[in-house]
Amino acid sequence: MSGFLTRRQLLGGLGANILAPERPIRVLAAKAPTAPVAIAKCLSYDEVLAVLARMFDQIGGLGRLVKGKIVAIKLNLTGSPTLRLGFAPAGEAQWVHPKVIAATVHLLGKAGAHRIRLLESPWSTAEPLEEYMLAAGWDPQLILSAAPKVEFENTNYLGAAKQYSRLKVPGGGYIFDAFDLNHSYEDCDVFVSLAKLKEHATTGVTLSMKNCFGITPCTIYGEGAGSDEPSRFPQGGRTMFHNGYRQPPKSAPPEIDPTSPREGGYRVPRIIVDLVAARPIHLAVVDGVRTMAAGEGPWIPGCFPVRPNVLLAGTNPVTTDAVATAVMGFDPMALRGSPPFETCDSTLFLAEQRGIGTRDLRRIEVAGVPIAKTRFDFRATRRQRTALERSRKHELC
Amino acid sequence: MPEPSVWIPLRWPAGWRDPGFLKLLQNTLLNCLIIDWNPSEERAAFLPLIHEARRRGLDVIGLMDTMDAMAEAVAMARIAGLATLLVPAPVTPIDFPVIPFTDRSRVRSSDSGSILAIRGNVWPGIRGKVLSGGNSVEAGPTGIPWVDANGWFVRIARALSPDKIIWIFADPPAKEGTFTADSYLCAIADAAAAGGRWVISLGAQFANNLAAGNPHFLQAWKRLMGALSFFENHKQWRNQYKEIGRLAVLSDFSGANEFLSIEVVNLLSRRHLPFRILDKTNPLNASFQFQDLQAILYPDEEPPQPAVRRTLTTWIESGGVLICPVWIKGLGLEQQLSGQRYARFQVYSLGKGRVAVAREQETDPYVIAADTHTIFGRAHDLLRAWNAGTINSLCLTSFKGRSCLIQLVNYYNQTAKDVCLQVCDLYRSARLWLLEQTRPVPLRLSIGRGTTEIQLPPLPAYAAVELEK
Repeated sequence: MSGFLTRRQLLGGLGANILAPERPIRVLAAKAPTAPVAIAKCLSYDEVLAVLARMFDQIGGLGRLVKGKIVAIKLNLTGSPTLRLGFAPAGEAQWVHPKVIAATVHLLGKAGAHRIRLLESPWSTAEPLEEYMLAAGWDPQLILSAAPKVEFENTNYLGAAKQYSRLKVPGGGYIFDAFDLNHSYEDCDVFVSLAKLKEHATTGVTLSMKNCFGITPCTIYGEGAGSDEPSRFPQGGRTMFHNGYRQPPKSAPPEIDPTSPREGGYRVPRIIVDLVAARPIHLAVVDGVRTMAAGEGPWIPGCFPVRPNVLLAGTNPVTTDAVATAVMGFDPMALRGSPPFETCDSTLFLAEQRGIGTRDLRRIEVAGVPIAKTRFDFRATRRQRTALERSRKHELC
Repeated sequence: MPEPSVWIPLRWPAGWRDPGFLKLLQNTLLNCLIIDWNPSEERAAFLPLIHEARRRGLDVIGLMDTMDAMAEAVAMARIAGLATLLVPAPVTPIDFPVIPFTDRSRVRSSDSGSILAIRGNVWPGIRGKVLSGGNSVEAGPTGIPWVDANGWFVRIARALSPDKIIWIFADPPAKEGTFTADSYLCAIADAAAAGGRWVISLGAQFANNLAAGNPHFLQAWKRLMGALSFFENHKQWRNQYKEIGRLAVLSDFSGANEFLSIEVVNLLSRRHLPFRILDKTNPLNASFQFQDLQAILYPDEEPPQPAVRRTLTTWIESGGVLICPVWIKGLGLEQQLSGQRYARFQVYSLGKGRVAVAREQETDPYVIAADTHTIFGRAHDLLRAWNAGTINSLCLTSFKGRSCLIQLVNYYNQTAKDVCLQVCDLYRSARLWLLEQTRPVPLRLSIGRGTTEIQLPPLPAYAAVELEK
């Protein structure tokens, strides 16, 4: 499939019933690039270093990617550090585990990375990331000492820079043509997305691409953003991305079409793709050793901890996320209306249309353990749990 | 008759004129009634009740809303045999004992009496609708629920008036809605955990149902009386333990500094960050025991008095960290910019220590509390708590440091689930005290690198964790 579709045609193809203004979107599914994805079983976080080393070799090695380069790693530290899913520490549920971070940093350092910068825009705060991690009970020194020249930066605001960096979406975006971001996303040679294998209330799944939603500073895209200029400090979440109730400050690039649908299931996947196009991911790592099902954080009702015991890595975020989606028991070719995209458009499909990568498993080489042998069906686990809870309730009655 | 120092008061419901209601106080620790003492006809209607109360060995206090007709009120108080009068403001000395109310907005009291009666307080609880898990709320800048509490204010009052007994007056909301005894238990625990006393005040719904003998409310009343007994039975905790904290807030908590200093204490109390409160005007504090402090937040605009300033400077030079939302004029600090960087604060070196000054005068207490925690550094946290968004904690330590007491007040009228504490020290055993259990329950500990982690069962309005090394 190639050529051009109007947005209206595209929406029709997605099953969305909303008519949006027309804007040509180039469709490059068949030409979308592919790259191998490594999958490994990993039963414990103590094994992560050895497992990741093998996986990085399977996808061509880190040296060619990072030697002498400045590497930026976007972590997934979503929500408040004082929240746990039951008694599960954040790293075993909603956050990427500190040992996965430390192992990745160590291997990047060993492969010759010149400098490694760990980035996240933590919930509603401008405090240093180290403090945020300490609040979760982590020891940031373990990460800082994993390789030479490692540093943290809170990218939820301007930080130490004089101005925000404007990153443009090549060829134009779905919702935004450009974003104003913390300088760290521009001042790097290699960009790594270090994500968690989770379902997501708005986007169906959250993997290496959805992780990039958090590269946006809340001083510009948050509830407390100014109307003309960015606020000095971040406040609140990114509701404007979800429901489009307001525009970013006038100083930042506006939405392409403020009359487009204001629905989270339409907007968020598109904004994610815009972000990934503007800030390309060179290495995607997904932590599914211990995680959670039925949502992306403890604030989602009914979610629970699970142990898929799997790690994934690839140099293309779409192929990596497509394989990860399959490992989770879903069809990466699914569109809106089918699991896990019951109420949203598929980020994978939109990214493929953008030409970022293919989601077609037939075109993706899987290294290491086959998908079938690592599959952990999130929805089946949820059904089993629901049935178990029901039977327990009956027993109590 | 009991001494004022041991009074355990009940704000007597206005509709309870019948002395027969006094039987509700049998086998309880309540030994003092506070009765409305306003228009003369009302006073007369209470006389049989007062007579019977006194016959039963109870003290009775008259509460006046205004100072009008003071002479007549005093004369009738004498006739009725009242122990004292609670009056709205300080009065010129009269030959009858009075306790002037201190308004919460004027915390520093000049009264020489043994009781500091504070009004203008809040009804403890959660403001806004709590979302699943009880750790977040629909609205609010913090992402965690906004808690209305009095405990932190009791701490300030105790710091400013260390020899006084703190009484907190707070009435249940007029719209009581669905009645929960836990809400009243929270009011008792909120003040008691901080070393004060909430003057029991029943809402109309509670008082009417109790008077009518509704078993549900009689049971609730029993629970309230049980909570009073719990705190009376653990009075020794106040002698065994002292407040812990490597951070202190140093202020006079009055005048132009009042709002910022007390609101910062309120918001620091929400962070499970043990801290101490120091009154900079107390002459005893000129020799402040700063030795075991790592950081001091000084929210006041004007510099401290020379004696305190000298101590403060010496303490900074030996490694302390002073945090100033406003630049303190004339502190005489060497302005040497440190390499440390914070979003809102500039850091200067002084000897081995540091002074962190807001780049622009910071007046938002939430921001000051958050930044203070960051500058203090979470690496120095003595306590961390997870899933404890509806809870305030108060950490105490034994004088020899062998044991630690963590009091937890849950402001949500449902149990707090999956609460996990991490104490940054190693302990051998832990036990959990609950209001309605006479014996503590042993808790399982999980030992980490220099930390002790405790997973708690569902927590009601109050719990205390006692740890032993």
